[in-house]
Amino acid sequence: MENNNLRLQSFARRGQPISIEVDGEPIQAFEGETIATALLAAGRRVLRHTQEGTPRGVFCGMGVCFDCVVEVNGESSVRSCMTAVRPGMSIRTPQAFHGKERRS
Amino acid sequence: MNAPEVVVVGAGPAGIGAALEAARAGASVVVLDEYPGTGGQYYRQPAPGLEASSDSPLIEHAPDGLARIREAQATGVEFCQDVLVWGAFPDGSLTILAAGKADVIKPLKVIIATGGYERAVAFPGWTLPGVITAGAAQALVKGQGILPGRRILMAGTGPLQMAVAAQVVQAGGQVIGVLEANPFGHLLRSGPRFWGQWARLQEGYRYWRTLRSKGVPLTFGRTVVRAIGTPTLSRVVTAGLDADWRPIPGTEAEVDVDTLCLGFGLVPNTKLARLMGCDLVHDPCRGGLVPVLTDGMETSRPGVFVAGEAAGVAGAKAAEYQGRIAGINAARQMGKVTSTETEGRLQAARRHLGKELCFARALNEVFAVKPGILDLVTDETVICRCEEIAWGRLRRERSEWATTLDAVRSVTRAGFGLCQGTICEPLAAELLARETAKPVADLGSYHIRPPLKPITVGALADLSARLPPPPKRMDH
Repeated sequence: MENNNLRLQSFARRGQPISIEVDGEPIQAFEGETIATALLAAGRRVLRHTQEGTPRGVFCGMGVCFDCVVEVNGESSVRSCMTAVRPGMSIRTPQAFHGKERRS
Repeated sequence: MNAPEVVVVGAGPAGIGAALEAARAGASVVVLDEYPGTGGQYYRQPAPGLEASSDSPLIEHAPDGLARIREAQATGVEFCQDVLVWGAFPDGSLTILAAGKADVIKPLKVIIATGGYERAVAFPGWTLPGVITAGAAQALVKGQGILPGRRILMAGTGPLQMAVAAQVVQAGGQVIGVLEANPFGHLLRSGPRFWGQWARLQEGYRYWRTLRSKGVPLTFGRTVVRAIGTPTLSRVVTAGLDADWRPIPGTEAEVDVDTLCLGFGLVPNTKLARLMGCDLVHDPCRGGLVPVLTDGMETSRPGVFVAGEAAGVAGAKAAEYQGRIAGINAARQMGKVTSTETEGRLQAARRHLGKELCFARALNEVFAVKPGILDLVTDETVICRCEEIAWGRLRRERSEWATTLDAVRSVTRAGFGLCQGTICEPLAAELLARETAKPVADLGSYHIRPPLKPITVGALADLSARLPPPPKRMDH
Protein backbone atom coordinates (compact mmCIF):
# COMPACT_ATOMS: atom_id res chain seq x y z
CA MET A 1 0.00 0.00 0.00
CA GLU A 2 1.86 3.09 -1.25
CA ASN A 3 0.66 6.31 0.34
CA ASN A 4 2.84 8.86 -1.38
CA ASN A 5 0.33 11.66 -1.10
CA LEU A 6 0.51 11.77 2.68
CA ARG A 7 3.56 13.93 1.93
CA LEU A 8 2.29 17.51 1.82
CA GLN A 9 2.19 19.46 -1.39
CA SER A 10 2.32 22.79 0.48
CA PHE A 11 6.03 22.28 1.12
CA ALA A 12 7.53 23.59 -2.09
CA ARG A 13 10.65 21.50 -2.09
CA ARG A 14 11.82 18.22 -0.62
CA GLY A 15 15.36 17.04 -0.16
CA GLN A 16 17.20 14.67 -2.45
CA PRO A 17 15.59 11.26 -2.97
CA ILE A 18 17.23 8.54 -0.88
CA SER A 19 16.79 4.80 -1.06
CA ILE A 20 16.62 2.81 2.17
CA GLU A 21 15.87 -0.84 2.89
CA VAL A 22 13.14 -1.88 5.31
CA ASP A 23 12.90 -5.57 6.21
CA GLY A 24 14.73 -6.33 2.96
CA GLU A 25 12.40 -4.20 0.86
CA PRO A 26 13.60 -1.02 -0.89
CA ILE A 27 11.74 2.16 0.13
CA GLN A 28 12.03 5.63 -1.35
CA ALA A 29 12.58 8.47 1.10
CA PHE A 30 13.83 12.05 0.96
CA GLU A 31 16.72 13.80 2.66
CA GLY A 32 15.60 15.42 5.92
CA GLU A 33 12.92 12.82 6.63
CA THR A 34 12.97 10.67 9.72
CA ILE A 35 12.69 6.90 9.49
CA ALA A 36 9.17 7.20 10.94
CA THR A 37 8.14 9.61 8.17
CA ALA A 38 9.58 7.41 5.42
CA LEU A 39 7.75 4.37 6.79
CA LEU A 40 4.49 6.27 7.26
CA ALA A 41 4.69 7.55 3.68
CA ALA A 42 5.29 3.98 2.52
CA GLY A 43 2.10 2.88 4.31
CA ARG A 44 3.94 1.05 7.07
CA ARG A 45 2.40 2.14 10.35
CA VAL A 46 3.43 -0.93 12.33
CA LEU A 47 7.02 -0.20 13.35
CA ARG A 48 7.54 -3.16 15.64
CA HIS A 49 5.86 -5.92 17.64
CA THR A 50 6.31 -6.11 21.39
CA GLN A 51 7.35 -9.19 23.36
CA GLU A 52 3.65 -9.94 23.77
CA GLY A 53 3.30 -9.68 20.00
CA THR A 54 1.21 -6.50 19.91
CA PRO A 55 1.85 -4.01 17.10
CA ARG A 56 3.24 -0.53 17.88
CA GLY A 57 3.88 2.60 15.86
CA VAL A 58 4.59 6.28 16.40
CA PHE A 59 3.00 7.59 19.60
CA CYS A 60 4.61 10.74 21.03
CA GLY A 61 6.53 11.66 17.89
CA MET A 62 9.15 13.57 19.91
CA GLY A 63 11.54 10.99 21.28
CA VAL A 64 9.95 10.54 24.70
CA CYS A 65 7.94 7.29 24.57
CA PHE A 66 10.33 4.89 22.73
CA ASP A 67 7.33 3.13 21.14
CA CYS A 68 8.60 3.68 17.59
CA VAL A 69 11.99 1.98 18.06
CA VAL A 70 13.40 -0.05 15.16
CA GLU A 71 16.69 -1.74 14.35
CA VAL A 72 18.99 0.41 12.19
CA ASN A 73 22.12 -1.12 10.58
CA GLY A 74 22.16 -3.75 13.33
CA GLU A 75 21.73 -1.30 16.21
CA SER A 76 18.58 -2.01 18.24
CA SER A 77 16.15 0.38 19.97
CA VAL A 78 16.71 3.32 17.63
CA ARG A 79 13.90 5.90 17.80
CA SER A 80 12.52 6.15 14.27
CA CYS A 81 10.88 9.54 15.01
CA MET A 82 14.26 11.09 15.94
CA THR A 83 16.56 9.49 13.38
CA ALA A 84 17.04 10.90 9.89
CA VAL A 85 17.21 8.56 6.91
CA ARG A 86 20.62 8.07 5.27
CA PRO A 87 21.32 6.53 1.88
CA GLY A 88 21.59 2.75 2.06
CA MET A 89 20.26 2.53 5.62
CA SER A 90 19.09 -0.96 6.50
CA ILE A 91 16.10 -1.02 8.85
CA ARG A 92 14.41 -3.94 10.52
CA THR A 93 11.07 -3.66 12.25
CA PRO A 94 11.36 -5.89 15.34
CA GLN A 95 8.98 -8.84 15.42
CA ALA A 96 7.71 -10.66 18.49
CA PHE A 97 11.18 -11.51 19.80
CA HIS A 98 11.81 -14.41 17.44
CA GLY A 99 10.77 -17.23 19.73
CA LYS A 100 12.78 -15.99 22.69
CA GLU A 101 11.15 -16.72 25.98
CA ARG A 102 9.10 -13.95 27.46
CA ARG A 103 10.23 -12.47 30.71
CA SER A 104 7.63 -13.16 33.35
CA MET B 1 34.12 19.82 24.86
CA ASN B 2 35.61 22.81 26.70
CA ALA B 3 33.77 23.35 29.96
CA PRO B 4 31.42 26.31 29.50
CA GLU B 5 30.44 28.40 32.51
CA VAL B 6 26.73 27.89 31.86
CA VAL B 7 25.10 24.80 30.39
CA VAL B 8 21.51 25.15 29.25
CA VAL B 9 19.71 21.86 28.64
CA GLY B 10 17.07 22.23 25.92
CA ALA B 11 16.95 24.59 22.94
CA GLY B 12 13.28 25.62 23.05
CA PRO B 13 11.90 29.06 24.00
CA ALA B 14 13.08 28.83 27.64
CA GLY B 15 16.54 27.56 26.74
CA ILE B 16 17.09 30.18 24.05
CA GLY B 17 15.93 32.98 26.41
CA ALA B 18 18.19 31.75 29.23
CA ALA B 19 21.23 31.33 26.98
CA LEU B 20 20.75 34.74 25.41
CA GLU B 21 20.66 36.59 28.74
CA ALA B 22 23.58 34.68 30.27
CA ALA B 23 25.71 35.23 27.15
CA ARG B 24 24.75 38.89 26.95
CA ALA B 25 26.09 39.26 30.50
CA GLY B 26 29.42 37.84 29.35
CA ALA B 27 29.19 34.19 30.42
CA SER B 28 30.32 31.39 28.13
CA VAL B 29 27.13 29.48 27.32
CA VAL B 30 26.48 26.17 25.61
CA VAL B 31 22.98 24.86 24.88
CA LEU B 32 22.76 21.07 24.75
CA ASP B 33 19.74 19.71 22.93
CA GLU B 34 18.74 16.15 22.15
CA TYR B 35 17.03 16.96 18.85
CA PRO B 36 18.67 17.25 15.43
CA GLY B 37 17.19 20.76 14.97
CA THR B 38 17.31 23.81 17.26
CA GLY B 39 14.07 25.32 18.57
CA GLY B 40 12.37 22.58 20.56
CA GLN B 41 8.75 21.76 19.81
CA TYR B 42 7.42 25.33 19.63
CA TYR B 43 10.12 26.86 17.40
CA ARG B 44 10.52 23.64 15.42
CA GLN B 45 12.29 24.32 12.12
CA PRO B 46 11.40 22.29 9.02
CA ALA B 47 13.91 19.42 8.65
CA PRO B 48 16.96 20.15 6.49
CA GLY B 49 16.10 19.62 2.85
CA LEU B 50 12.41 20.39 3.40
CA GLU B 51 11.60 23.90 2.30
CA ALA B 52 8.19 25.35 3.03
CA SER B 53 6.83 28.09 0.83
CA SER B 54 6.93 31.43 2.66
CA ASP B 55 3.12 31.70 2.74
CA SER B 56 2.69 28.24 4.25
CA PRO B 57 0.63 28.36 7.46
CA LEU B 58 2.67 25.40 8.65
CA ILE B 59 5.85 27.30 9.34
CA GLU B 60 3.98 29.36 11.99
CA HIS B 61 6.53 30.08 14.75
CA ALA B 62 9.61 28.82 12.87
CA PRO B 63 10.82 32.20 11.46
CA ASP B 64 10.34 33.87 14.85
CA GLY B 65 12.32 31.05 16.46
CA LEU B 66 15.07 31.26 13.87
CA ALA B 67 15.46 35.02 14.55
CA ARG B 68 15.89 34.31 18.28
CA ILE B 69 18.36 31.51 17.65
CA ARG B 70 20.41 33.80 15.38
CA GLU B 71 20.31 36.57 18.00
CA ALA B 72 21.58 34.16 20.66
CA GLN B 73 24.32 32.88 18.34
CA ALA B 74 25.38 36.45 17.56
CA THR B 75 25.69 37.03 21.31
CA GLY B 76 28.06 34.07 21.58
CA VAL B 77 25.77 31.17 22.47
CA GLU B 78 26.85 27.81 21.09
CA PHE B 79 23.99 25.41 20.24
CA CYS B 80 24.95 21.73 20.26
CA GLN B 81 22.28 19.50 18.69
CA ASP B 82 21.96 15.71 18.95
CA VAL B 83 23.45 15.86 22.45
CA LEU B 84 21.74 13.90 25.20
CA VAL B 85 22.29 14.84 28.85
CA TRP B 86 21.83 11.44 30.48
CA GLY B 87 23.28 11.80 33.94
CA ALA B 88 24.02 14.22 36.77
CA PHE B 89 26.23 13.53 39.75
CA PRO B 90 26.57 15.02 43.26
CA ASP B 91 29.81 16.87 42.39
CA GLY B 92 27.85 18.97 39.90
CA SER B 93 29.01 17.20 36.77
CA LEU B 94 26.73 16.22 33.92
CA THR B 95 27.25 13.24 31.66
CA ILE B 96 26.39 13.64 28.02
CA LEU B 97 26.25 11.57 24.86
CA ALA B 98 27.24 13.16 21.54
CA ALA B 99 27.78 11.24 18.30
CA GLY B 100 27.69 7.93 20.18
CA LYS B 101 30.41 9.05 22.58
CA ALA B 102 29.86 9.70 26.30
CA ASP B 103 31.57 12.58 28.08
CA VAL B 104 31.57 14.48 31.39
CA ILE B 105 31.23 18.23 31.76
CA LYS B 106 31.23 20.34 34.89
CA PRO B 107 29.67 23.75 34.36
CA LEU B 108 29.35 26.40 37.06
CA LYS B 109 25.63 26.86 36.44
CA VAL B 110 23.01 24.54 34.94
CA ILE B 111 19.76 25.83 33.48
CA ILE B 112 17.26 23.05 32.86
CA ALA B 113 14.84 23.84 30.05
CA THR B 114 13.74 20.34 29.10
CA GLY B 115 10.14 21.27 28.27
CA GLY B 116 7.11 19.07 28.67
CA TYR B 117 5.38 16.20 26.96
CA GLU B 118 1.83 15.03 26.41
CA ARG B 119 -0.19 13.70 29.34
CA ALA B 120 -1.13 10.06 28.79
CA VAL B 121 -4.81 9.15 28.98
CA ALA B 122 -5.35 5.40 28.74
CA PHE B 123 -8.28 3.43 27.34
CA PRO B 124 -8.63 0.05 25.62
CA GLY B 125 -6.71 0.12 22.34
CA TRP B 126 -4.59 3.19 23.07
CA THR B 127 -1.37 1.35 22.11
CA LEU B 128 -2.55 0.63 18.53
CA PRO B 129 -0.48 2.09 15.70
CA GLY B 130 -2.50 5.08 14.48
CA VAL B 131 -3.22 6.37 17.99
CA ILE B 132 -0.79 9.27 18.42
CA THR B 133 -0.48 12.42 20.49
CA ALA B 134 -1.51 15.83 19.17
CA GLY B 135 2.15 16.81 19.54
CA ALA B 136 3.17 13.94 17.27
CA ALA B 137 0.67 15.09 14.64
CA GLN B 138 2.12 18.59 14.85
CA ALA B 139 5.71 17.33 14.61
CA LEU B 140 4.84 15.27 11.52
CA VAL B 141 3.00 18.07 9.76
CA LYS B 142 5.24 21.01 10.67
CA GLY B 143 8.62 19.35 10.97
CA GLN B 144 8.34 16.64 8.36
CA GLY B 145 5.71 17.84 5.91
CA ILE B 146 3.63 14.71 6.14
CA LEU B 147 0.04 14.06 7.22
CA PRO B 148 -0.29 11.59 10.10
CA GLY B 149 -3.11 9.74 8.28
CA ARG B 150 -6.11 9.95 5.97
CA ARG B 151 -9.10 10.11 8.31
CA ILE B 152 -8.11 11.86 11.50
CA LEU B 153 -10.10 12.35 14.71
CA MET B 154 -8.86 14.63 17.48
CA ALA B 155 -9.84 13.90 21.09
CA GLY B 156 -8.78 15.68 24.23
CA THR B 157 -9.13 19.10 25.76
CA GLY B 158 -7.85 22.63 25.40
CA PRO B 159 -6.64 24.88 22.65
CA LEU B 160 -3.62 22.81 21.48
CA GLN B 161 -5.74 20.16 19.80
CA MET B 162 -7.74 22.91 18.06
CA ALA B 163 -4.48 24.43 16.80
CA VAL B 164 -3.21 21.08 15.56
CA ALA B 165 -6.55 20.29 13.88
CA ALA B 166 -6.46 23.67 12.12
CA GLN B 167 -2.89 23.03 10.93
CA VAL B 168 -3.78 19.57 9.64
CA VAL B 169 -6.75 20.83 7.59
CA GLN B 170 -4.74 23.78 6.29
CA ALA B 171 -2.15 21.27 5.13
CA GLY B 172 -4.90 19.49 3.20
CA GLY B 173 -5.59 16.70 5.67
CA GLN B 174 -9.02 15.34 6.53
CA VAL B 175 -10.02 15.89 10.15
CA ILE B 176 -13.40 14.29 10.68
CA GLY B 177 -13.95 15.94 14.05
CA VAL B 178 -12.55 17.50 17.19
CA LEU B 179 -13.86 16.16 20.50
CA GLU B 180 -13.50 18.51 23.49
CA ALA B 181 -14.08 16.56 26.69
CA ASN B 182 -15.52 19.54 28.56
CA PRO B 183 -19.19 20.34 28.11
CA PHE B 184 -19.83 23.62 26.32
CA GLY B 185 -21.51 25.09 29.42
CA HIS B 186 -18.32 24.64 31.47
CA LEU B 187 -16.33 26.61 28.92
CA LEU B 188 -19.01 29.27 28.64
CA ARG B 189 -19.04 29.76 32.41
CA SER B 190 -15.23 29.95 32.39
CA GLY B 191 -15.27 32.64 29.72
CA PRO B 192 -14.84 35.60 32.11
CA ARG B 193 -11.53 34.13 33.32
CA PHE B 194 -10.06 34.99 29.94
CA TRP B 195 -11.31 38.59 30.01
CA GLY B 196 -8.63 40.84 28.55
CA GLN B 197 -6.78 38.04 26.75
CA TRP B 198 -7.98 39.34 23.40
CA ALA B 199 -5.01 38.19 21.32
CA ARG B 200 -5.35 34.67 22.68
CA LEU B 201 -9.10 34.60 22.20
CA GLN B 202 -8.61 35.86 18.67
CA GLU B 203 -6.11 33.07 18.01
CA GLY B 204 -8.67 30.54 19.26
CA TYR B 205 -11.32 32.14 17.10
CA ARG B 206 -9.02 31.82 14.05
CA TYR B 207 -8.61 28.07 14.65
CA TRP B 208 -12.34 27.67 15.10
CA ARG B 209 -13.02 29.62 11.88
CA THR B 210 -10.50 27.50 9.95
CA LEU B 211 -12.14 24.30 11.18
CA ARG B 212 -15.61 25.64 10.43
CA SER B 213 -14.66 26.70 6.91
CA LYS B 214 -13.47 23.13 6.22
CA GLY B 215 -16.62 21.66 7.75
CA VAL B 216 -14.84 20.06 10.72
CA PRO B 217 -17.37 19.53 13.53
CA LEU B 218 -16.33 20.52 17.06
CA THR B 219 -18.15 18.41 19.65
CA PHE B 220 -18.24 19.22 23.37
CA GLY B 221 -18.58 16.81 26.27
CA ARG B 222 -17.42 13.78 24.32
CA THR B 223 -14.27 11.70 23.94
CA VAL B 224 -12.90 8.42 22.63
CA VAL B 225 -13.43 5.45 24.96
CA ARG B 226 -12.01 2.61 22.83
CA ALA B 227 -9.74 2.21 19.82
CA ILE B 228 -10.16 -0.81 17.54
CA GLY B 229 -8.19 -2.30 14.64
CA THR B 230 -5.92 -5.14 13.47
CA PRO B 231 -3.03 -4.51 13.17
CA THR B 232 -3.57 -0.73 13.00
CA LEU B 233 -6.37 1.60 14.07
CA SER B 234 -9.50 1.34 11.91
CA ARG B 235 -12.28 2.69 14.12
CA VAL B 236 -13.00 4.22 17.51
CA VAL B 237 -15.89 4.21 19.93
CA THR B 238 -16.76 7.63 21.33
CA ALA B 239 -19.05 8.44 24.25
CA GLY B 240 -20.60 11.45 25.90
CA LEU B 241 -19.07 12.55 29.21
CA ASP B 242 -20.60 13.98 32.33
CA ALA B 243 -19.15 17.05 34.08
CA ASP B 244 -16.48 14.88 35.78
CA TRP B 245 -15.70 13.22 32.42
CA ARG B 246 -17.31 9.90 33.33
CA PRO B 247 -18.60 8.20 30.18
CA ILE B 248 -22.40 8.25 30.04
CA PRO B 249 -23.83 4.76 29.28
CA GLY B 250 -25.93 4.55 26.13
CA THR B 251 -24.19 7.45 24.37
CA GLU B 252 -21.61 5.36 22.50
CA ALA B 253 -21.09 5.81 18.77
CA GLU B 254 -18.62 4.21 16.36
CA VAL B 255 -16.66 6.04 13.70
CA ASP B 256 -14.14 4.85 11.08
CA VAL B 257 -10.74 6.55 11.37
CA ASP B 258 -7.15 5.57 10.65
CA THR B 259 -5.64 8.16 12.99
CA LEU B 260 -6.61 9.33 16.47
CA CYS B 261 -4.75 12.31 17.96
CA LEU B 262 -4.88 12.64 21.74
CA GLY B 263 -4.35 16.06 23.30
CA PHE B 264 -4.98 16.10 27.05
CA GLY B 265 -2.49 18.80 27.95
CA LEU B 266 1.15 18.66 28.94
CA VAL B 267 3.24 17.31 31.80
CA PRO B 268 6.47 19.07 32.88
CA ASN B 269 9.60 17.06 32.10
CA THR B 270 11.31 17.19 35.50
CA LYS B 271 13.56 14.14 35.20
CA LEU B 272 16.89 15.98 35.01
CA ALA B 273 15.88 18.32 37.85
CA ARG B 274 14.95 15.26 39.94
CA LEU B 275 18.19 13.51 39.07
CA MET B 276 20.06 16.62 40.25
CA GLY B 277 18.30 16.32 43.59
CA CYS B 278 16.07 19.39 43.30
CA ASP B 279 13.03 19.50 45.61
CA LEU B 280 9.67 19.02 43.93
CA VAL B 281 6.08 19.76 44.79
CA HIS B 282 2.73 18.64 43.39
CA ASP B 283 0.81 21.45 41.72
CA PRO B 284 -2.07 20.28 39.55
CA CYS B 285 -2.50 23.85 38.24
CA ARG B 286 0.95 23.64 36.67
CA GLY B 287 0.76 20.09 35.26
CA GLY B 288 1.64 17.93 38.27
CA LEU B 289 5.09 17.41 39.75
CA VAL B 290 7.13 20.65 39.46
CA PRO B 291 10.42 21.86 40.97
CA VAL B 292 10.34 24.23 43.94
CA LEU B 293 11.75 27.51 42.63
CA THR B 294 12.80 30.92 43.90
CA ASP B 295 11.52 33.96 42.00
CA GLY B 296 14.92 33.87 40.30
CA MET B 297 14.04 30.41 38.89
CA GLU B 298 16.67 28.73 41.07
CA THR B 299 15.94 25.27 42.50
CA SER B 300 16.69 24.01 46.02
CA ARG B 301 20.12 23.12 44.63
CA PRO B 302 22.23 26.27 44.40
CA GLY B 303 23.35 27.06 40.87
CA VAL B 304 20.71 24.83 39.27
CA PHE B 305 17.84 26.65 37.55
CA VAL B 306 14.69 25.43 35.80
CA ALA B 307 12.72 27.41 33.21
CA GLY B 308 9.89 26.78 30.79
CA GLU B 309 7.40 23.90 30.78
CA ALA B 310 9.82 21.88 32.93
CA ALA B 311 9.12 24.45 35.67
CA GLY B 312 5.33 24.07 35.27
CA VAL B 313 3.15 24.19 32.15
CA ALA B 314 2.61 27.82 31.17
CA GLY B 315 3.24 28.15 27.43
CA ALA B 316 6.03 29.39 25.19
CA LYS B 317 5.93 33.08 26.16
CA ALA B 318 6.14 32.37 29.88
CA ALA B 319 8.94 29.92 29.11
CA GLU B 320 10.97 32.60 27.39
CA TYR B 321 10.58 35.09 30.27
CA GLN B 322 11.46 32.41 32.83
CA GLY B 323 14.51 31.55 30.74
CA ARG B 324 15.58 35.18 30.67
CA ILE B 325 15.18 35.48 34.45
CA ALA B 326 17.20 32.30 35.00
CA GLY B 327 19.92 33.48 32.60
CA ILE B 328 20.23 36.89 34.26
CA ASN B 329 20.37 35.37 37.75
CA ALA B 330 22.97 32.77 36.76
CA ALA B 331 25.15 35.57 35.35
CA ARG B 332 24.65 37.70 38.48
CA GLN B 333 25.71 34.83 40.73
CA MET B 334 28.92 34.46 38.76
CA GLY B 335 29.62 38.15 39.14
CA LYS B 336 29.37 38.75 35.40
CA VAL B 337 26.97 41.64 35.85
CA THR B 338 25.80 43.76 38.74
CA SER B 339 22.22 43.89 39.94
CA THR B 340 21.85 47.52 38.84
CA GLU B 341 22.97 46.71 35.28
CA THR B 342 20.36 44.00 34.88
CA GLU B 343 17.56 45.21 37.14
CA GLY B 344 15.61 46.83 34.31
CA ARG B 345 15.56 43.75 32.14
CA LEU B 346 14.83 41.48 35.09
CA GLN B 347 11.86 43.61 36.16
CA ALA B 348 10.51 43.70 32.60
CA ALA B 349 10.74 39.90 32.32
CA ARG B 350 9.02 39.49 35.72
CA ARG B 351 6.19 41.81 34.71
CA HIS B 352 5.54 39.96 31.45
CA LEU B 353 5.87 36.61 33.20
CA GLY B 354 3.28 37.59 35.79
CA LYS B 355 0.68 38.22 33.09
CA GLU B 356 1.53 34.98 31.30
CA LEU B 357 1.30 32.91 34.49
CA CYS B 358 -2.09 34.41 35.25
CA PHE B 359 -3.36 33.33 31.83
CA ALA B 360 -1.69 29.92 32.12
CA ARG B 361 -3.34 29.27 35.49
CA ALA B 362 -6.78 30.01 34.06
CA LEU B 363 -6.09 27.79 31.06
CA ASN B 364 -4.72 24.91 33.16
CA GLU B 365 -7.68 25.07 35.55
CA VAL B 366 -10.37 25.34 32.91
CA PHE B 367 -8.89 22.52 30.80
CA ALA B 368 -7.69 20.32 33.69
CA VAL B 369 -8.14 16.60 33.08
CA LYS B 370 -11.08 15.44 35.24
CA PRO B 371 -10.92 12.23 37.28
CA GLY B 372 -13.84 10.46 35.52
CA ILE B 373 -11.57 9.80 32.53
CA LEU B 374 -9.83 7.14 34.65
CA ASP B 375 -13.04 5.07 34.34
CA LEU B 376 -11.95 4.25 30.77
CA VAL B 377 -9.13 2.08 32.14
CA THR B 378 -10.03 -1.61 32.53
CA ASP B 379 -7.93 -4.32 34.22
CA GLU B 380 -6.64 -5.30 30.76
CA THR B 381 -5.65 -1.77 29.71
CA VAL B 382 -1.89 -1.38 29.38
CA ILE B 383 -0.51 1.39 31.61
CA CYS B 384 3.24 0.92 31.14
CA ARG B 385 3.53 0.76 27.36
CA CYS B 386 7.21 -0.26 27.43
CA GLU B 387 6.93 -3.28 29.75
CA GLU B 388 3.30 -3.99 28.80
CA ILE B 389 1.97 -3.89 32.34
CA ALA B 390 -1.81 -3.67 32.55
CA TRP B 391 -3.78 -1.86 35.24
CA GLY B 392 -5.06 -5.13 36.73
CA ARG B 393 -1.49 -6.15 37.51
CA LEU B 394 -0.71 -2.80 39.18
CA ARG B 395 -3.91 -2.97 41.17
CA ARG B 396 -3.32 -6.54 42.37
CA GLU B 397 0.35 -6.06 43.25
CA ARG B 398 -0.33 -2.94 45.24
CA SER B 399 -0.28 -4.10 48.83
CA GLU B 400 0.19 -2.91 52.38
CA TRP B 401 3.90 -2.60 51.88
CA ALA B 402 3.89 -1.46 48.26
CA THR B 403 2.20 1.82 49.08
CA THR B 404 4.28 4.25 47.05
CA LEU B 405 4.50 4.66 43.30
CA ASP B 406 8.16 3.63 43.41
CA ALA B 407 7.41 0.46 45.37
CA VAL B 408 4.66 -0.54 42.94
CA ARG B 409 7.15 0.03 40.15
CA SER B 410 9.67 -2.29 41.78
CA VAL B 411 7.07 -5.04 42.20
CA THR B 412 5.49 -4.79 38.74
CA ARG B 413 8.27 -3.36 36.52
CA ALA B 414 5.83 -0.67 35.32
CA GLY B 415 8.15 2.24 34.55
CA PHE B 416 11.30 0.16 34.06
CA GLY B 417 11.19 0.10 30.25
CA LEU B 418 12.95 2.14 27.58
CA CYS B 419 11.05 5.37 28.34
CA GLN B 420 12.02 5.00 32.02
CA GLY B 421 8.51 5.63 33.28
CA THR B 422 8.18 8.98 31.54
CA ILE B 423 4.83 8.18 29.94
CA CYS B 424 3.20 6.02 32.64
CA GLU B 425 4.29 7.86 35.80
CA PRO B 426 1.56 10.56 35.90
CA LEU B 427 -1.08 8.04 34.77
CA ALA B 428 -0.06 5.35 37.28
CA ALA B 429 0.02 7.99 40.02
CA GLU B 430 -3.55 9.13 39.31
CA LEU B 431 -4.87 5.56 39.09
CA LEU B 432 -3.19 4.46 42.32
CA ALA B 433 -4.33 7.59 44.10
CA ARG B 434 -7.91 6.83 43.15
CA GLU B 435 -7.54 3.16 44.10
CA THR B 436 -6.10 3.98 47.54
CA ALA B 437 -8.25 7.10 48.07
CA LYS B 438 -5.11 9.10 48.79
CA PRO B 439 -3.99 12.45 47.43
CA VAL B 440 -1.70 11.87 44.44
CA ALA B 441 1.11 13.78 46.17
CA ASP B 442 1.21 11.12 48.93
CA LEU B 443 2.25 8.39 46.50
CA GLY B 444 5.62 9.96 45.75
CA SER B 445 7.23 9.54 42.36
CA TYR B 446 9.47 7.16 40.47
CA HIS B 447 13.05 7.39 41.70
CA ILE B 448 15.14 8.75 38.83
CA ARG B 449 18.51 7.20 38.07
CA PRO B 450 20.99 7.69 35.24
CA PRO B 451 20.88 7.10 32.34
CA LEU B 452 17.78 9.27 31.77
CA LYS B 453 17.45 7.68 28.33
CA PRO B 454 19.04 4.43 27.14
CA ILE B 455 22.69 4.61 26.08
CA THR B 456 24.92 1.75 24.98
CA VAL B 457 27.19 -0.19 27.31
CA GLY B 458 29.94 0.45 24.75
CA ALA B 459 29.65 4.22 25.26
CA LEU B 460 29.85 3.74 29.04
CA ALA B 461 32.88 1.44 28.80
CA ASP B 462 34.65 3.89 26.50
CA LEU B 463 33.95 6.75 28.94
CA SER B 464 35.23 4.85 31.97
CA ALA B 465 38.43 3.95 30.07
CA ARG B 466 39.07 7.67 29.45
CA LEU B 467 38.29 8.90 32.98
CA PRO B 468 41.00 9.12 35.64
CA PRO B 469 40.71 6.29 38.17
CA PRO B 470 38.58 7.19 41.21
CA PRO B 471 40.57 8.22 44.31
CA LYS B 472 41.24 5.35 46.74
CA ARG B 473 38.89 5.36 49.67
CA MET B 474 40.61 5.81 53.04
CA ASP B 475 38.15 3.82 55.12
CA HIS B 476 40.67 2.56 57.60
